[in-house]
This record gives sequence, C-alpha cells and structure tokens, in this order.
Amino acid sequence: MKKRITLPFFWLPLLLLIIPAAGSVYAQNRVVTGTVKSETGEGMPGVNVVIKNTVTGTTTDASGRFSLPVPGDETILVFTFVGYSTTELTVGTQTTLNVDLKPDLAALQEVVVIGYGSQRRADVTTAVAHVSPETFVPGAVRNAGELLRGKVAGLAISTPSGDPAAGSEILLRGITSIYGSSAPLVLIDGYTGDLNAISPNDIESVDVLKDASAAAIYGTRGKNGVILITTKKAKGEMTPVVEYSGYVATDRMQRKADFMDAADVRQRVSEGLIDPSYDLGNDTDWLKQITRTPVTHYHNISLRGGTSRTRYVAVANYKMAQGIFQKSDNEEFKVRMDLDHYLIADKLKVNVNVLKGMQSYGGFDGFSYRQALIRNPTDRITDDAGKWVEHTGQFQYENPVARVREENVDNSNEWTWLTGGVSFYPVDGLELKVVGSQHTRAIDVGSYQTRNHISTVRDGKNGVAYIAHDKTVENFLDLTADYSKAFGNHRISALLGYSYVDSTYSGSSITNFDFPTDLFSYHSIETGRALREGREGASVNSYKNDWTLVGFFGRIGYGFKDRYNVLASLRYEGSSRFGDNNKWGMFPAISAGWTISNEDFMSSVGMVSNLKLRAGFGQTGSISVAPYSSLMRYGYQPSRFYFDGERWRSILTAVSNYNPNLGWETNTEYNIGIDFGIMNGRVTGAVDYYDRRLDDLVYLYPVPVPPNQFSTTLANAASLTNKGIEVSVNIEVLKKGKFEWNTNVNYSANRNRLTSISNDEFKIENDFFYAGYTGDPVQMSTHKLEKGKAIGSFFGYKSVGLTEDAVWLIENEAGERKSIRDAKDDDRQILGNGLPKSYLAWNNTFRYGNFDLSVTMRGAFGYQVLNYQRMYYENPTIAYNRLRSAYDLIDGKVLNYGQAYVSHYIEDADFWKIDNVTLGYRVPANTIPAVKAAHLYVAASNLAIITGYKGIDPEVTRKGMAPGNDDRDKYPTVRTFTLGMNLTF
Amino acid sequence: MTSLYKRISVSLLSLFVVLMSCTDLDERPYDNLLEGDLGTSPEILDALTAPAYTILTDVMFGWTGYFDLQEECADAIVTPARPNGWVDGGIYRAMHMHTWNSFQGHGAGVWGNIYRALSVLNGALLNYRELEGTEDIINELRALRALYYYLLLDSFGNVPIVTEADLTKVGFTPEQSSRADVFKFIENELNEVMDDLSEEKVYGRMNKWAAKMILAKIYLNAEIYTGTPRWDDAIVQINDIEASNLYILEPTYRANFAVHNESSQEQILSIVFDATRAGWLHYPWKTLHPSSGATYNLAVQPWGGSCAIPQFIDTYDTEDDRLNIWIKGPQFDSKGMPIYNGLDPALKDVQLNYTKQVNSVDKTAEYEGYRIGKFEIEKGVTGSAISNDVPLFRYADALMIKAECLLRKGQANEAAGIVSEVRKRAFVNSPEKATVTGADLLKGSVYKYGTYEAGKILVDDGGSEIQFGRFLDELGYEFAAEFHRRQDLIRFGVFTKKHWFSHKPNGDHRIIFDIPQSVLDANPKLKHNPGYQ
Repeated sequence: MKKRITLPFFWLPLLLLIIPAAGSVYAQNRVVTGTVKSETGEGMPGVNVVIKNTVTGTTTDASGRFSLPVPGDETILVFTFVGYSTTELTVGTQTTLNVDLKPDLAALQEVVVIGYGSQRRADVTTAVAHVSPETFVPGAVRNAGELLRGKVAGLAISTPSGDPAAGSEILLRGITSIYGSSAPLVLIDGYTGDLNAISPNDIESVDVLKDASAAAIYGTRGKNGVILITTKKAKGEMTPVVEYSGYVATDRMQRKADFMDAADVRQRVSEGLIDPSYDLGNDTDWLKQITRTPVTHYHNISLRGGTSRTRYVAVANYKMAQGIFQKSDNEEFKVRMDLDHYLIADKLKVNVNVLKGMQSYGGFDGFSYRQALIRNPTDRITDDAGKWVEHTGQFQYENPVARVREENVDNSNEWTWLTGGVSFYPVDGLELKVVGSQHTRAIDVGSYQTRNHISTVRDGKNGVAYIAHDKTVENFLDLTADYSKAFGNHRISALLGYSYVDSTYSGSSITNFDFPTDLFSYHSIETGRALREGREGASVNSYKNDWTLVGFFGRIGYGFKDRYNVLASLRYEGSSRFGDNNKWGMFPAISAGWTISNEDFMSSVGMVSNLKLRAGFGQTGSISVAPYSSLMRYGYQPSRFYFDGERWRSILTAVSNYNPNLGWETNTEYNIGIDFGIMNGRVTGAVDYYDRRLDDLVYLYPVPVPPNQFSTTLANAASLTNKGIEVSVNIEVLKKGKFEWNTNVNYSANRNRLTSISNDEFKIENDFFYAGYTGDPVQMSTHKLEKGKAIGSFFGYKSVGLTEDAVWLIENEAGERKSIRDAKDDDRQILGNGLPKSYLAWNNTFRYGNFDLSVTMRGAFGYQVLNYQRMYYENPTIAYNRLRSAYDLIDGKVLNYGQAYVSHYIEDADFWKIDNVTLGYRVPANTIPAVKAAHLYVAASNLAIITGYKGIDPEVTRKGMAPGNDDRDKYPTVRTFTLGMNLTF
Repeated sequence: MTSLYKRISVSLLSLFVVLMSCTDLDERPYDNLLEGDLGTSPEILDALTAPAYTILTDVMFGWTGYFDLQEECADAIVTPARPNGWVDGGIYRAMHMHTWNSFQGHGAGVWGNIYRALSVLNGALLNYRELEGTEDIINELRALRALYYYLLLDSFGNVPIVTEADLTKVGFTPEQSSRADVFKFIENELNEVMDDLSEEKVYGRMNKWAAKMILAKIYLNAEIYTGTPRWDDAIVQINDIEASNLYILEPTYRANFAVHNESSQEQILSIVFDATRAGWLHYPWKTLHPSSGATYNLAVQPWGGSCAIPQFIDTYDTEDDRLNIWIKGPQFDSKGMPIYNGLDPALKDVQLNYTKQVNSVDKTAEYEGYRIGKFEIEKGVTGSAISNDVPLFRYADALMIKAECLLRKGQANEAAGIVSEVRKRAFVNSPEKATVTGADLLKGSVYKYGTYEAGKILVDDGGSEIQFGRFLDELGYEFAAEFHRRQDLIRFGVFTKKHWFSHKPNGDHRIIFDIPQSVLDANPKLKHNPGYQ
C-alpha cells in the first residue's frame, strides 16, 4: 500500500497547500482517524493529511493524531511532512489508519533553524549551513566546536591547544573586528552560551547563519555570524528510550620540540661548541618528568519519552579528561532536563528546561613547560638531600618538576540555566510565545605555592595563596508572535518579537603570602602576613559591571509556487554599552531565492534535481566594547597615593574619555549563492560568494592630552573588507549492495583588506599600527596593520643569511643588504601573513554491512607561522638548553647572535591533516538482550599531518590582530585514541 | 472555551506590552565616578589635583622614563645587550647610538606622562579659579605647570602649549609652539606668580625657591634654547635661593640618596617615592645582575643590564667619594658569602665581579660594567621598588649653576671657590684634593672621548680641547646618574660631536628628541622636529 515517492519533492506542497474550498464536492459519509508516527515510533504533530486530488484535509495534532471525513473506500490519503517522504494510503474499509512516515534523506527536505524559527531547506534564501549529528565524529571531542570542524565551508574551527579544558577558536568568513572579537555568536536553543555548555552528545543539530541576510535577525550580536545549536527534544508520543554513550581515550603528544638531550650536550661539549662546565653529569628528560600517559573516560545517559500531552528529555553526562601534562585535568558533569506539556486542547504549551553544568579544570602552566624544554638535560631533579635543585642566580630559570609539584591549582566553573516558556496557539498557524530564562555562572579559583616552590626558595615569599571568585547572572526575556500559512501557490510567514537581556558580572580576588604553615593551602588566606603588612604583591580587589540589551524584531517570508522565495527581516536594537548619541541601531536584511529547477522549462532537464539561485543583503552589528566605555569616568588608584607634605592622600584620575558616538560595528554584506542537486540528488552542494564591508570598527585611538583627559579614546572609525567564496559538495559515490560511500568536500577562500583606520574625528596619521608581541627578551611587535593591506601581515627584518661574523644579514625593501647591527626600523618589511588564504576539508563515510568507517581530513593553505620555539631556542648563544637545530649551519656558519625576530623563523605553514578516523560496528538488533541497538567504535583523531612546518603544529591561533604567532609556551596538540560504544535500550 | 482563549490572549498581550516597555539603557558604573559625581568638595578637588605631583614619579621612573631619556643617550650610562636580553628590539642601542626616531618608546612615555600631568593641572586650575580663597594653590599649580613645560622645553623643544581645560571643545587639537616661545611662556608664568609663591619648605611641593630653580635652569641653558645666553639672570635666581638661608650642602654626599632622604636639608624639590604607595623606583632591578638580589635580600630577582661607560669611570679621581655611587668589584650576599655568575652556565662557579671594562653595546658578559647604585638599596624589599625620594633640584645643583655662569662670564676664581665647596665632602680623607683653582676650571675635559671596544679606545676623539671641559667633568662627578648628563653635554658642545663607547655622532638635530609618533598620530597639527622624518 505504501508507495515511496521518488519524484522531486517540491511539487508536492503545491498540491497539498491549496486554499480549502468553501465546501467539499464529496459527500462526507464517514470519519477516518489515525496516528502518524515517525521512524522512532513517536507521534508526529503537524503532518498534512489531504484527500488526494482535492483540497480537503487536516493536520495531525500534537500527538500525531488526526481525524478526517472521507467520501468513500476508494479515497486515497496523502501524508506529507517536511523532511519526510510523502506517503499515500487507500482508506479501504478501515476506520483507523496508522501511518509510519519515513524520513527523506535528501538534503532538500531538511528543516533549517534560522533563529526564532525554522524554514524548509527548499525555502532558504540565505547562506545557512545545516549540520546534522550523523556527520559528527563520535568519541573524544572536547566540545561541540570540534564536531563542526571541517563540516561547514567558511567556518574555520581550530583547537590550537592540547589542553583538555581548552576551547575551540572559531572564525566565520574571516577577521571581522580589530578591537573586538571575531568569534561568531553561539546560541544554544536560542540562548548565548559557549560551546562547552552542553555535551556534544546532547546536540540534535547545528545550523550556521553565515551571511548578514541570515544573521541580521540577531542585530548587534550577528556580525560575526551565528551558530545555532539545537538540543535533543522528545518528538511526540513515544515509548521511553534510554541511550548510553561512553568511551575511554588516551593521548600522545603529536610532535615534540626537538631539544638537546644529555647525550647531545656531551657531543657538543666534545666538539668544543659548549663549555664543559655545562655538563652537570646527569641525564634527565625534563619533559617526561612533567607529562604522563593520560586516560579520559566519558559517560552519557539520556532518557526520552512522551505521552500524548507530555514529552520529556533527561540527559546526564560525566567526563574525566586527563591532559598529557601532569595536573592538567578537565572534569565535567552536566545534566539537562526538558519538559513539554500541552493543555487546553493542545492550544497551550508549557515548557520547562533546566541545565546544570559543573567543571573542574586547569593545572597546566605554560611557563613550567618552557622550563622543562630549556632546562639543562645534564642537571638533576633533586639533590642528595632530596631537595629540588634550583639555580636562583639564573634569570627566569626554574625547576619545572618543582613548579608542578609544589603548586596546587583548583579551578571550578559551574553554570545553571533555568528556562520556562508558554506558547499559545489561538488560531491555526499562529504561535504566541513568552520565554524567560536565567543563566548563572560562577567561577572559583584557588591556588597555593608551598615553601618548596621557587617563590619561596628564590624570592622568600613563604607560601603564596590566591583565591578568586566571580559570578555572571544573565536574565533573558523573549516575546514572539510567529505566524505561518500556506494557501494556493502562496506560502507566507511572519514573525514579530521583543528580546531583553541583562547581565551582571561581579567578583573578587585575594593574593597573600608569608604563611606560617603550608598545611592550610589557600584555605586560610587571612593567616598570611604580607597583606596585613601592605607588602607589594599582596592584594585584594572586587569589581562589578552590568549591561542591558533590548531588541525589537520582525521577519516576513513569502514563497510563490516553490519557485520564488523572499525573506526580509529588521531588528531595532539598543545596548547600554553604546554612547548617548548612538544607543539604538537598525539592522535590515532581505534575501531572495529562485528555484530554477521548479520552472516548467526545467522539467526536461532530467539530470538536475535541484537548482536554486540565492541572493541576500543584510546589515549586522557587534558590540565590541566593555560596559561604560562611552562615559567619562574617574577612578581612585588602589595602590598609589599622594604625599601632600604631611600625609598620604587618595588620587583620583580620569580613566576614560567621553565618546557619546560610541556604537556598534557594522557589517554590510552581499551574498549570492547557488544550491544544486544533480544525478537524482546523488550530487548536491552549494556555492556562495560574499562581499562584506565592515565599518565603524572600534579601535583605541591615541588622542591629544590635553584637551582630552585620557590618552586614548575608544571610537568607531576603522573599516575592512572580506570577500570570499565557499563551496560545499556532497556526493553519494557508491551505493551497491552492502557497500556505501558518501563523501563531502568543503572549500573556502577569503581575502581581507584593511580599508581605513581613520575618520574625520579619529585618525592614525601614518595609516598603520603595530600588533603582536614577541615577548621577553626579544621585545618587538610582530605584525603591522596598514591601510590598504591585508590583516595578519608579519613585519620585521628579512634575513637572507649570515654575515662574516655570523650575525644576521638582512635585506630591506630596496634590496640593500646589511648586518642586523646596522639595521634601522625602516629596514623592516612585510614577511608573510598568518591568515590562511584557503581552507579545504574532505569528509568520507564508508559503510559495509554493519561496519562503518569515517575519515575526515582538512587543511589550510597559503599562510605563514612565526615559530617562537625556533626564534627563542634555535640559537647557540643562549644560556639554557636549545633545540638540536641550533647548530645547523646557515651560510656555512653557526649563528653567533642573540635571539632576534627575523624572517628565518617565519615558515610556510600549509598543512593537510587526517583529522579523524573512526571504525565502527553496528551490532545486529537483538544480539544483546535488552539492548535495542548497539554501536561500537574505535577512533583516532589528529592521526597524521603533512606539512613543511618545523614546529609542533601549524594550526596556531588566528584570533586577533596577530594571527600566526606560534607561542613557545603553547600546550602541545595531541593525538587521541578512543574506544567507545553507544547503546540504545 | 472561546472566552478562555480570549482571556489568555488578552493577558498574554497585556503581558507583552508591559514587558516590552523595558527599554532603559542608562549606565551607572559601580567602581568609577562620573563627571556629575565630582562636585567641588575639597576632598574630591584634592584627589583630582594630586596626580599633578604624583605623575612626576611616572615621568622620572616610568618604564623608559625621563631618567633613561637623559642618561641612555649620554656618555656615562649604557644598557648593552646582555646574556639575559636587553636587546629589546634595539631601543637601548638606538639611544646610545643616537639612531632613535619618532617611534622610540623613551620619548613617548615621558611626553605622555607630562601632558597627562598638564591636563590634570589645567583641570585643577579651572576648578580652583571658580572658588574663593584658592590663590595660593593656583600659584603653586602654575609654577608646577612651568616645571613640566621646562622638561618639555629641554627634551622636545617645539611643543604645544595648552593652558585651557575646556572639555566641551571636543575635537580641539593644540597648536605647536617654537622652542623660544615655550621658553618665554615658562619665564612669564614664573615671573607672574613668583612674588605670591610660598617661601616655606613643604616637602615634595613647589615653592618660590623651586620656582627660581626652574628659572635658573632655563637661563643656564638659554643660549641653547633661544640663542641668547642669560648667565646673569641665572645668577640672580641662585643668589635669591642662597639668601633664603633655607638650604645647605649636606655634610655627606650620600645622605641625599639614602632610603630616608626626606630629612636632607639640601633638597629644594624632591619627587616623593614610596615602595608601596608612590611611583616605581625600580632602578636597582634594571641595573643589577640577578644574583645581586642576595646582597640586598631582594624578594624580586633583579633583571639588570644598565651600567657605567668605562671611559666615564676613568675621569674620576680614585679618592673621590662620589665614585662609590657605582657598585663595583667582587660581590657578596648579605651574610658576606660570595655570590656567583650564572647567566652563562660556564661561569656559574665564578664569583660575580663587576668589572669596569664593558665589551660593547652589542655584546657584553654578565659581570661587565659598574652598576648604578646612586640610590641606597634598602635590604629586604619585597617588591621591585625602593622608597628613596628623588631630588629633582638640590642645593648643590643651585651652586653649580652659579659657578658655571661665573666661569662663563670670566670669573673663574669665584667659580672655583664654589666648586671647591661642593667638592669638600667628597674628599674627606684627602682634603687637599677638594680645592680647585680658576685655572683648573679653564682646562679641557679629562674624558678620553673616542670609539671604545673591549677595553681599548680604538679611535681617539679628544676631550682636552673642550672649553670648560674640566667643569663639565665636575658636573659629571656631582650629578652622575642624576638625569643631568644629556643637558650638560649639549651645553658644552659634546653631545652631537664626540664618540664615546660604541656611540658615534649622528646629526646635530639630536639635541632634541622627535615628537613621539603616537602624539603626531593623535594631533595632525604637530610636525616632526627639524631633522627628523
């Protein structure tokens, strides 16, 4: 009876969504009732049920039930629902019909979340990417960010640090801010949160609003794009399902910095390159002393179920992740519960949602890592008396093992989200919704350095304790009215809303030292004497700030004949953080799509199952300033006083200038795109081109004092542009018998240019400024930002070899060569760029019977990295341990010049990574008693890397104005092996 | 049911309306005052005025502060590359080699702090002028403002003069004045307030005698600033200070630089520092080897580098007590046990011994160079600052100004009398050496100028032909490491002409620094100083 529709889907709504006629031409002689269920056995609400070839029909209720008068036994009912295959059934003599709808896997059928609502994929006119959990790699991922890595063209996600508590760095369509963040807004079920707030296992889908025509509905928060995470929900009536997921994982350091060991030192001593006194007679692998073979385990249990009126989800998970460095752990426990209840004939829905997370983390200290690398490998850890060996006369030289063992650090982070909402459906297609939510986050930090720590051994502090606590409370209120209706060839949707957020941040911290005993750790901080005696280094402070954001928004969508779609939105938004003259901003967007493949003239082109042109324009904003930034403020100095000849008095100084014009940063973006599907949908994909102009970018401008009271003013006066292309292709390569191979390729390229850093009021006369910093002792800026040039340019001396006396020979832009000793500032030039020009990802899934294999790979191309470890340690003149390569010959000589920032240390960093390989096995149903389904897998992430980069990992930080700096103290990235399983009960 | 829907709809709609009226976006910080909070209470006005004095600490010993600006470019002190760094992108080398440009951090810090102080002063003057009975404080602040302009006049020359504090003029940028106009402005300001200034000594505060010191200073250097010498005018100011009978030469030279030097009767104007309450007098850390922390029980390891230029040390009479401001020779911890090198592991068993010899600005062993110990280092300091106050003007300075003017006017014997008086306390053990004659002062310098490397003078650049060079040497002994040297070298025609250590002359325009780039960026009306660009 059931028939799978194989024709393109898009003609169906035309048939089904015709304005109901005033009366039926059929006699209505009996009523058929039934339930429509999904593939999981849950009742499906909102399914269209129509008598074939008529306009008569109904939709299912919240439990998936329907009842419909039918004219006779020969009546055929057509069931349609977005994302599911259309099903036809002949009524026959039955009075009760139970229908199982099968999901239609074609991408076209997807529902895409677009912020304050969703859209059929077919109706989408903006650049929105949808990622469903099937494409997520299972296993040991640190947060939701890693799930998205390589999945969305234009979304560059990296995790430059190997710390188990580290977050991901996200860049969507390039750098978008100078002073503020370029990271996209992350919303979890509509609320701002970070990607670590929920467990990756708790994610139903992720949607990425890439262009401004999509993101403008988020106004001043939408500039950098929006990542919308939807958590798992119960979907109607279903028998309770319990799922368990768990894994065990371990890490290895992907690559190690190649420093000399004791044998190397002795070799160099014998060659006369190192003074014999450097050999202290021992053999210590310092890095090994502070690292370990870590074990991580994770357990997630979820329960989902629903009756006709009540649905629930409960999820709890626990993770204990050990880092490769001793004491670097990340322990997390998260619980979420979501409850929906319908009442008053399903006209009213009440929702309650609770999320609680707890995290203990930290313990990695980059300086200890540095000390392990640079410590003399012929030294020993402890002396004969068992005391840590320290050389207090040597500058910034500390026993790394002592640093790790003699300090304990406890960080904890706790967050609670309480949400309640009511939806009211007064008429068909209209939802009025009120949702209120409160999010709190509290961070507690405590640390203690014992008397055996260098802080006492060298600096005489007698124990150093630190405690800090801070808390953020955010209140949200959202009111929306959402209406959607289809009639005839028309499909309309409209949304009106109001959104209110206030946020309060407060905290305090204490540092104290000189304790009578180590026994109390940081738990009796008042017993330290330093604070009482007012000694430098002991301090107390507290702080508080708050902000408010209020927005009004509306959106209208219109579709005609499934060929032409238009979507327009407007947000009017105000932030307390803006100046008096600029409190409110307007953010419009409009986009349109033309589904060419639905045109009659295309019906003959059989190869093309989908072809859609999209074009969008929009304006979005961002708030890149801290609260009170626009105000003229005066502050008392906490530790500086004035002696008036008799006594010490307080000092009051201006801490900021008044700037009533301070406002949002604006992104004006044009996007054109093509969605396509050929060969019966076996090949689908999208191509997007965008052109974004970022204006009113905030920068801290130097201003003359006087007349100003403060030497810098935050103002919106810079501009930059980002242009780029994104290509995404999905191919069902093979589907033959038990074998299946799907592949997905994502490519993106981006070019940015700083077009201006001045306006009429605020100017940088030279049209450039420097950014980035090498750190102690080289102490130079690494990057130059210049009007008309790309962001991310390294700027310094170009080294072309060594001079006679083995110091750097540098070449300036004019081609003139000289010793670095004679080099002037003017001899510096652009040496490369730290932002990749393009990104490529290639994801594959193979299936053979019950086995599945996924291989994800990705790379970044056309960029350079400044290798700090080489800059500091590939140098034979330094006093401490150095890289083996320090003695490599340059122009036939060994370098004889101190640490310096020259182009020798800037390397091409193109890479191709095998990001993840997972081999899984689906245990056939009913093999294990009481288990409905089971999936076992082994996975390896960061498996291999192909790159010419000599450092540990070319995927370094791309944040801010100094991208491509590979910090020497960075937690090395790791390779992870996972063994896991998912069970459904 | 219908009425129920209606009721739900109506209550929801009214809820919407009520809630949507939440649109208040006003801000109120929790830990700052806003302009409207200030008022005119004495407590607030004092607190707002206080930075006018305390910024002097930042000017003098902020990072790359006035001290460095006057000493790093001169012939007594250098910060060479060390095994523990100090290349810092070549900024110290640029100071020594006179290759700085508008990006040099040394100028930017000093300029920024001075104009911050001027902004405070102008604001405070505006506040006090609106109140009754504030004439005394207004005069004091105007004199203090002239002091800051004197520092600008000397280091940058052509600077904007701003006396207004009208904050409503957003977008207003000051005009640049010529060095001669800045000179006139300072002179006029001080002359206007001079008679009404307090004649009392209030520690750390401006009074009539300090104001006269400013005048004496600009007259002493008037030929450089304006092209016209004003020797007599300078002498008049010093005579007034002498006649006040408020100041004496301290019996011991080092008393002026002791931890508790606030009782010194020699100080005319001091900058008040305190390890935990005022300023950041960090010089011991900037000069000492890390191991020297043990000598003074310092909780924070020194990170030093800066040291004496050997040719300058060679000018001293070995019996001159003032030579002891340099920390030299084998080093011991506070208990008298030797302390060791260690930056170079090969030297870790060798006792730290500060040598006079220094290799070159580009490469220096960790132990090379006498370290700067002008200010007594208090034992057991817990932070990286000491509490000694810094004398900006002291009586010896006044006397030496007078002596120099007399010498230049041809009254060499009178000048010699003053110089001998000042030298007396430095030669307690060999009093006969304290006395100099007029003929002595007319001699050239004993400084052996010329390119120096690794203990040898490679190219001789004279010194004995410098007019009044012997007097320049006297200034060096008395005011070494007291941020005088650049100004003195300029006045004696040495600054842009002679070679010393690794330094070679690099243009006469270097007698003033360029306007800092950040300042040029912020104010398009300002131009680079002549010769820079």
